[in-house]
Amino acid sequence: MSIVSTTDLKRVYESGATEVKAVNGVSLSIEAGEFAVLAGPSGSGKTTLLNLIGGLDRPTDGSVHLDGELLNDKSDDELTRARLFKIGFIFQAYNLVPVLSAYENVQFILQIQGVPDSKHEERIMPLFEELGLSGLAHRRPGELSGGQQQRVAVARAIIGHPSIILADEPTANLDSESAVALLNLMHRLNLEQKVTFLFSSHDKKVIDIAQRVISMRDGKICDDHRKTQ
Amino acid sequence: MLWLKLAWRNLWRNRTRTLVLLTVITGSLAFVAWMLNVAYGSYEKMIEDAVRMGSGHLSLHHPAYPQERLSEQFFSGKQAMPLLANRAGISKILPRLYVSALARSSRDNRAIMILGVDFENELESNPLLQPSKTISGKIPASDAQNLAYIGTRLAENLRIDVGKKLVVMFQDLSGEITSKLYRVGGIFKSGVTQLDGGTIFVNRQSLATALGNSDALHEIAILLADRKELPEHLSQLQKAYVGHKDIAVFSWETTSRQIADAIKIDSAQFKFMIFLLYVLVTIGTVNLLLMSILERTREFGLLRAIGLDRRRIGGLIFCEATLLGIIGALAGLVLTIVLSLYSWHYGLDFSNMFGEAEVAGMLVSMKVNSTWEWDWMFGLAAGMVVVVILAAIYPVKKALRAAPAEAMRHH
Repeated sequence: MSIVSTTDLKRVYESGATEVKAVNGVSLSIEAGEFAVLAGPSGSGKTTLLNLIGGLDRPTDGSVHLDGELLNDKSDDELTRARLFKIGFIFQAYNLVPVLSAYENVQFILQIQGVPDSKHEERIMPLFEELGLSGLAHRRPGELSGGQQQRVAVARAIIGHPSIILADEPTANLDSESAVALLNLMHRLNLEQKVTFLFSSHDKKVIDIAQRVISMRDGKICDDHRKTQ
Repeated sequence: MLWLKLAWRNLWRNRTRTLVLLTVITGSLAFVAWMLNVAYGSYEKMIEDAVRMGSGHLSLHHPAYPQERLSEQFFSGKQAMPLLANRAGISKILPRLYVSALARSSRDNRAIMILGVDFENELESNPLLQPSKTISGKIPASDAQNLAYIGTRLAENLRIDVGKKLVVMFQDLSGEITSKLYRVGGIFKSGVTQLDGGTIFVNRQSLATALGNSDALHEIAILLADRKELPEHLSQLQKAYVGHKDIAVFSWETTSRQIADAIKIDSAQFKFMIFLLYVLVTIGTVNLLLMSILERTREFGLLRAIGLDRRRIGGLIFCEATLLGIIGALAGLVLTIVLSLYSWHYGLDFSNMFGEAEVAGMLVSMKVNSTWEWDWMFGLAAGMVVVVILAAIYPVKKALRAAPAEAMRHH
């Protein structure tokens, strides 16, 4: 079953008289349970494609379907709602809310999803246990290492049971050891909980662990292959 | 609860900036509200001094007298007084006569105003008839038919002193020129040129007799125990005197119109100052909120990326502004109460700087005790909260303008 599908997707930026085709006719389908990576050098269009799939940006042409729904026609509020319930984001710079603790950063999603307060702890604490964050729940992002912050970001991304996690260069700011630990953690979530991941990365460690590698160059997919188990 | 927590913590991200803004809000509110209490205290003082020296909170006159002030526009005391007797809420009834005259001594003469009063009755209330104002002799007793209490400047001009004679010439009620001899019983100094140079107080009965009608009055000044009850008393007295064509009831705002106008002008200027100060607070708040919000552009992009819609982000910023406004307003109220408590209890004495002021020919004390204008205080505090919330509108619009992806590229 296809979670995400794009058809002839284009995103053109205008910079004065010149046009930059950041994404140029991408047709792609991500199936449920996949652990895929958009690979390619800087400027190849990975992040732009991820933003279009995540509804953070609007395409110039083509279409994006998420869980069978066309995103192109949705209003800003409808897109926000789709992001809240169907997509989990992990960013390169962690992007946690600095004035909230690790626990509160994750709780924030449940709060805006309208999950009753009484259910928050029973959903967050087992996840923190699983991600090795139990002792860090009340620390603020500034008191956590990069690897710990990114694990909180993972917890925030998956707490709302989204259809897909979009991770933009999640290991770029981490040291090698933290990056491997984080990738193993996400891989385990993929295998055990069937969480669908789509990364954008040029990190070899990410490409090595991914089951599907979609290579991009100049805004186009130049290669798309699944690894055999 | 998490929203409130988030808004509260956001407020204190930049402690110095928030404290500066709170100081501006608190200081502005306290300054305005305290000054307002002091100003209203000074208005109270001005009104009380004016009504005691002038025509009272309420006064009875011939209907045309307040406008024309002609000697023949008198009314009968015997008809007027019984309707005032035993009326609750009245603290003083002061019958008076006013006569324009020429005062002559053996050396010189001057145009003057004679005030026929019941001395002992006026002693407790009239700020001019006080021992502290008497610089020579004394205030005549009520039964002293031929003693005059005159202003110091008039005494100088006529070159007379206590015990000396002066003759006053005036038109009696039948239009004939008449004169009366008085001796100077006391000399007062009010500091008001017009009073010191052209006023003499004499026994009302002797003046009325000289006018040719011992029952004649130009004014009955009425002092109320509580000025707030003035509208009620005015209405009751107007009804009571409806059958007396020669008697009309007026409030101090009509008989001391210049004082009332001076207060209105001062009050309008004060309200304009409040408006200006609130505009300044709004500009300052917009500026500081805008700085705080532009710094968080990337974070607002993130919040929208993870599923927070524009309405909720706007709500979060308004929540921050509301908290800021409420804290500032509460602190401002507390500071106002502390300042007002001092000026209410001890008073502010400006007499060293200004002496006693002359407002519209009346003597006004410069020792002011502030009042407690609670309606205004709470109104100004609520207004301050509203101003701070309104000041967040532009920053909110600015914060929500960028698309999430664009906002998250912001550094």
